[in-house]
Amino acid sequence: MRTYLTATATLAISLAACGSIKDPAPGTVGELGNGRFSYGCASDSDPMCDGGSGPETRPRRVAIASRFLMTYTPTDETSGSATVVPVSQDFFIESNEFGASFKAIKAGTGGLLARRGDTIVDILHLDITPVVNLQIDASGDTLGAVEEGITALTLPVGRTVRLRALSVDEADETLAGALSCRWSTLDDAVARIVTLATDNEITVEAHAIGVAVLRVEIEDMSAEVALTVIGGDGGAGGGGGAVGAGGAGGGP
Amino acid sequence: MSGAWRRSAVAITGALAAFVAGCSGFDRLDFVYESAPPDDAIVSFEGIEIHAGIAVGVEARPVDGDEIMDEDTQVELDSRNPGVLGIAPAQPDEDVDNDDKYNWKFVVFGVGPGTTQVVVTIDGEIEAEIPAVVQEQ
Repeated sequence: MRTYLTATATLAISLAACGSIKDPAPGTVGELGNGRFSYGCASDSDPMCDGGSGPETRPRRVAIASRFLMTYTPTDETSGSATVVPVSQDFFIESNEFGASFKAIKAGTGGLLARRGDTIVDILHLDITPVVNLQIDASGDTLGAVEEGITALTLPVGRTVRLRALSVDEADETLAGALSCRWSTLDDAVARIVTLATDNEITVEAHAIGVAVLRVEIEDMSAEVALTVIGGDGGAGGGGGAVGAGGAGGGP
Repeated sequence: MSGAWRRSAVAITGALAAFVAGCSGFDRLDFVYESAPPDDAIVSFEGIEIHAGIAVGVEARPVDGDEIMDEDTQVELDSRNPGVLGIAPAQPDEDVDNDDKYNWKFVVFGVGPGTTQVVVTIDGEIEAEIPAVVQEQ
């Protein structure tokens, strides 16, 4: 499966805007047991780094077309460092755009090798999965628990809510990896996005009574939340079921 | 087939086998998995089957008859087409002293769909070729 050039261009632009690289995770022991692989986020749009911290464990699955970092620390550090390279460029390609990052390009199981000169020190495999849907979760002081998979939300004027867009697979499992991400609304007078719109997780401030549609585009898919802003402290509430996502994932 | 012909055929076959096996006493490699392949990858002296994108660690133990050969036996494995099948030495055990014990650990990995052969060299002499198939996932 090949990623369309347009998607790649959009991804590059978005990643450039997203900026910071989070610290890599503590790591997962390699399959040969000679050290640890550590996953890191290539940009703020990777859900593994939501909440301002890096992932604590290796993600089980990464999304097609997503980017991520992977480093390796040998158990015996006196033996020298090792560089992570893909087993096959059919599954992962390397990019130096954000340090040594990788882009997942084909569904399946792709291996990564920790290499020191001509010697292979360790092995790691990751599952690469297509994005089949987008899910939007809401959280904030005016809500109780995190509202998952919302399509509508009510918020009093002056309050804020945090919206988190997740790429999920067929089993509704969140996929790791940074994808191009952009939030927008045409109703700025009602609700405003007050954080980075290219992060998958944003904060929205209810500004005036009315309805604002908040839209997120991740790669070539989209989802929306209708935010109803009410007067005073009328309480807040989530609503709706699964988010209706836009078109299907990237073509073959 | 007459007795004379039969004896000649056996002699020729034996000579051929000796040639194929070389003079070192090498008969075959016994492969022991060092990592669990994530799918049904097969690495054996008879053949290698692996999917593109998959890697597996193995120890290639040289065998003479039923005996594993001396630890200083040099085992080299080379892919005839690294664009199809990759094979590289793996990190040896910490206790391996390269002067006394040769590193028999390798990583075999599928690079792209196709067929190729792995050349087996024992103590500097080519002893066998293992057919390899890399399949698309």
